[in-house]
This record gives sequence, structure tokens and C-alpha cells, in this order.
Amino acid sequence: MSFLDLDEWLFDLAAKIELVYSPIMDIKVYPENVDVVLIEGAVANEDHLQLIHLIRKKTKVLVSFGDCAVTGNVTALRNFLGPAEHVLRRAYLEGADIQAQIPSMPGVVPALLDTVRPVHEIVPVEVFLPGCPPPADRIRALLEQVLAGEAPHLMGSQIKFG
Amino acid sequence: MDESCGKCIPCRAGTVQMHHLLTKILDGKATLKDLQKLEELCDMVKNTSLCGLGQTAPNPVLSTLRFFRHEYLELLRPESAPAPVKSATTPEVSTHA
Amino acid sequence: MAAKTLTIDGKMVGAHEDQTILEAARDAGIKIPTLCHLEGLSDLGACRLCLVEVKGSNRLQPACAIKVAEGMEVQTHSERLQKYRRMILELLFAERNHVCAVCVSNGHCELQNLAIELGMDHVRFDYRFSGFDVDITHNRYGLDHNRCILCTRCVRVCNEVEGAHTWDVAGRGADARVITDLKQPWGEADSCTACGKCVMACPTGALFYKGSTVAEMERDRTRLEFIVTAREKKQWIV
Repeated sequence: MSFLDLDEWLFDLAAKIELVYSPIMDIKVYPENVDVVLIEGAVANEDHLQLIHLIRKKTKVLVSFGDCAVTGNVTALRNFLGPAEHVLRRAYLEGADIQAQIPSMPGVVPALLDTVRPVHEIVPVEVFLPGCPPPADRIRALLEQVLAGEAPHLMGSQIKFG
Repeated sequence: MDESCGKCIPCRAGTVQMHHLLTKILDGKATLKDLQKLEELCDMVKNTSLCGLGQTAPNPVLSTLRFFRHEYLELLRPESAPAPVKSATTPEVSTHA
Repeated sequence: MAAKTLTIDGKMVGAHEDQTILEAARDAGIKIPTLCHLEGLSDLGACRLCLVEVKGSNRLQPACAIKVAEGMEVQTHSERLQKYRRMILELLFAERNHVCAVCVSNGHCELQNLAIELGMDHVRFDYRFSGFDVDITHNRYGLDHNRCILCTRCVRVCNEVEGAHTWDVAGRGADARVITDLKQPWGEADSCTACGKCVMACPTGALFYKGSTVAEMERDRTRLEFIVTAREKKQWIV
């Protein structure tokens, strides 16, 4: 949503880039030789884990995008409950009003990892953009630097958490 | 880290992270980056701690790094290899609470 | 009442002999980062963020606890110091649960502001995820240990300004935490006068007014400043 706040600048951006993979695109496989990827969210389940290693292998610049990717943020609050089994029990058995059962569909629903981890704890990350969410002007500042071919460098209030 | 009183941050939180990094190295989950991080951390804890406890706590790590560095290096995993992450297999129970 | 002349970051500075380096630097417009120092309270040099390099000393010195001296040469923002400061902040963020996005103090937090100032864009150390308790037994205030950085401002303000000494520290190392009375729930601590000075002094979202939600907590330090000025300078400025 914050990305959409870039408003008309999105047109300028679209003219300069080729979007190859995104949740709003109908593409199933992560392509080869990607220049820049913006990663949203922390690594919480086995699907994320597989995808992040694949992305690392096929991408030049990884951007940890937003507090969840950078710190784990709210998604990592479940870590306090202990391993995945405790989390599932708390949510689906103790917290349930009716039909208490832990959903299990191997191969369809990916298994949770025991702890949610920020992206840079799993694979090396080049650029960090904290913020919950990062406001549009910070996203633009970062992307403009990337488009200019510079190594992105954000300063001062551009790196505010929360 | 059990001896730290907890008053100053470098000793209270630094020794915990030193222990964590050492465990990570011993478990074969650490990379060269973690080793550099450990060295930087030791240097910081040694130079910024409030009392003698924190100022000397990194010494065993620093001296083993100096004399037995090869043993540390042998335990590292290459940066490109995926880190082993423990995942839970979803328990296949459907208990009616 | 002798004046001392010293150099801070290459700038000649005049200071009163019983001023600390931190105060002399502040008067000269040089801001040294700190989390445990608060105007009007005793200093204990615990956060280690105000460490400075003093020429002739091979150890780093806490600016809040060291008095100025004639001819002293001080460096407050060397590359090495900034590196250490950033690492100390990272340790704090990794130690407990500082999730800015859901914190009452988001946007008004000294820890968050320091992270911005020191350019901390991520934490290199693994997060500990050790959960602590939240005490909301007091009818006006709440305490979230997960956001506490153990600066002990609350302990000192309660003892030195209010004179109640409700707060203290129990436990050691990573398990250390601030407590009320003999580790009772805050609501049952008889010595507490409910004056709220601890809440005014807290740098993070650890102590909060009940009922405030995300980013709503703005601390009013003017009451503390009023009492401290009245005591130290005998000026009753309202």
C-alpha cells in the first residue's frame, strides 16, 4: 500500500524498470538474473525459507523492505510462545471457540519454522529499508539511488524503525 | 555471562551475544561473517565495559582466536551454503479441546 | 569557583570546574548520545553511550561521570566511538522486545531516536526473543519489562526526587529487571505515591500511562525540570 503512495511517480518508475516477479503478477517461478528485489516480511515457514535461498542465488541486490523483513517485527512476536508446535496449539486449540483442531495439510500448507527470523539472519542482504511501513518518500529515495546505479545509502530519519 | 551484574549494557548483553556466537560456531552454523562479528564484539565489550569483569570477559575468546584461529575456521560453513534452520513438522493431531 | 579551559572536538571550551564533560559539551553545543543520564539525577555511567576519548588516557571515559580538567583534550565522535555506540544500540535492540511499530512511545522514544542518529538500519546480532512480564496492576501506570533498557532513571528519580524509593533492580545479568518495593506487583507497592515521575523519566515505552496506545505516549518532562531547577538553582519558574 505504501508503495502505491508513490502515485504518479510509479509511471516514471514503470518506464525505467522491467517488473519480473511480484505477488500481483501471474508468474510462478522466480526468474534468473534479477537486478534488484524488494523483500517484504520475515522468514516464517518452509516456503519462505526455500524462496529466500532461491532469490539470493538469482539476484544481485537484496533489499530488506520494511520492519518485518529487517527485524521480524510483529510477525516475530510469536517467537515468545516457543516452538511452532506451541504456537499452533495456542492459536488453534486454546484460542478456539468451536472445532478446535490444528490444520494439517502436508504439501499444501507449508510447515512453520520454530522461530520467525529477519531476512538477514538467513541470507546476506545488501540494503535495509526499515519502517512500518516505509513511507513513499523513503521508498522513492532508495529506488532513485538504485536506478542511478549507486550503492544505496540512506541516512538520518530515512532509516526510522516503526 | 552468569557473573555479569547487568548494570552496563556491553557486559550484560555483549557476553550473552558472545556466548550465542560461540555456540553457533560450535554447532557448525556460523560463517566467516559471524567470526568477524565475534571479534568486533569482543573488542567493543573489552573497551567499553564499566568494570573489570566485562573488560576481561572477552580475553579467553580473543586469545584462543589468536592462537587457535585455525580451529575456529575449520568449524565455519561457507557463506553460500544454506544455513540449517530447524523447522517443525506440523503435528498431525486434531484434538478436540 | 575556578573556570577550566579544555578542547572538545578541536573546539576551545570554557567550563565550570565541577561540570562534567557531558555538561561542558552540551553548553558548547556538542551533543553526546546518552540513555541513562537525565538532568537532575545522579550519574552512574551505565549505558556507556557517552564514552569519549580523552587524550593521555588509554581507556575510554564516560562523559557523564568525568569532571572537566584544565587542558583536557576530548574527542566525542571519532569513528571508533560511533562504531561502539552503534553496536551497544544493536545489543539493546536484540536483548529485549523493542518492536517500534506496536510501541506506545513510537515516535517519541529516545532509543528509537538514537538508532536514527547513529544510522542503525538493522541489527547484526541475533534477536534473543526472551519474553518478560508486563505489570499493569497499578491503577494509573503500566510497566512493560520487554521495553526496559535498565537505564535505572526510574530508580533514581523515585529515590532522589520523589524520595519514595519504590523502584529498585533485582536479578543479575540478562535477567536483571526493575522492581517495585520487594518485588511485589506495582499496584501492591505501598511506598509508591503514584506521582508518576518514573513514567516522566523513562526513555522508552517501558513505563507508560494506562490507556495510551501505539505512538500516543508523549512524556511531559516539564514537571521534572521544574522541580530540578527549583532545587538546584532556587528558581521557581512556572
